[in-house]
Amino acid sequence: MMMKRPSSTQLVIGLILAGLGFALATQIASNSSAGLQTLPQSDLVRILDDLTSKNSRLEAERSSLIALNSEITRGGASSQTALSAAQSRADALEILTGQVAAHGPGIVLNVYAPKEAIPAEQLVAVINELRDAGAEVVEIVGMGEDANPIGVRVVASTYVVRERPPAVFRIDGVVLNPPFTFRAIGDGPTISAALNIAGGVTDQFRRSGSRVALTIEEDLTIRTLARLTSPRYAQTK
Amino acid sequence: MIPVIGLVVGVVVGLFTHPSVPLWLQPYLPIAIVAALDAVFGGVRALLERSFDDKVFVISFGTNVVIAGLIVYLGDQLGVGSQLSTGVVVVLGIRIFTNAAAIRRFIFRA
Repeated sequence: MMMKRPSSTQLVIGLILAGLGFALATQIASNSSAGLQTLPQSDLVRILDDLTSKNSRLEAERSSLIALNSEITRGGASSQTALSAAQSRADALEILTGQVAAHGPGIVLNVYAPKEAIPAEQLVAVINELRDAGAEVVEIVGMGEDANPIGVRVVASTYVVRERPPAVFRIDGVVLNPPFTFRAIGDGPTISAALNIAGGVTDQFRRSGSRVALTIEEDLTIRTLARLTSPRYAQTK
Repeated sequence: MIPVIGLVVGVVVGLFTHPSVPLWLQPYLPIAIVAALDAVFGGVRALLERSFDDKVFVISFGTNVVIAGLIVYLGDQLGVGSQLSTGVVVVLGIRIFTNAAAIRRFIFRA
């Protein structure tokens, strides 16, 4: 029954079907574009559960990472302090072993005497007295074999020998002759008081006929370095 | 002819205007469309069997849509909305297939 002329019911049917088509297209379009809107409640609950568990998992991961981060930061800081402590220790040891030049307040002690007049013990006594008075860096300057002044840094292994004949001083293997100059970094007044004590170092020098001059320096620089020998027998434990 | 034109016009308008489905209609629209399709297939079958009646078609269309919507609404209220929707879709799908089979027999004689 194809229609010759449209009746009102046919128009109604056409309108209804137009509405159907409209709804169909709308539903398809919204369904293909919509995400969560069209999902039933059970699916939404499941998705929410998933998200919650995932969130808590990520939260736990985040807190562990934060803990790790702070640990690393703390470790970095502690290794930094360890490094600076080791650095200052190394600086102190370098000064002690005479491996670096040093400067600071100190004293200069000049001893003018014929070399026969000074026994080796007296030089050792000077070094001892300087150490006793808290001198941190000590250098002995004397005349070398070629008559030029030469310095020896006094460290733990320093020894003084007076050979005879001929009468020469050998300090750490270096031949030195008077006049001697002791240069020491430390508290100047303390050291000079210790050296000038009655019956002390300068007193003995003067008694044996030497001339002694002691000056306190504001800033003394000692550039002479000690030779570093690696120990043959002693090993670090 | 007019119903086909109406269908095409409706689809085109829907495709080009991109209207958003209001929230309260979202659970009912898919079921209502399936029910309406059932009515349309029934109408086509009736047309081919020469027993088509305008009034019956319009009323069946309307009641199908309304009842489908009501069933979904009732299912939502009872907490079995998704299951009932599935059931409605299955039943209407079977009916659509039956009608389509009858239409096929009329058109292709097979």
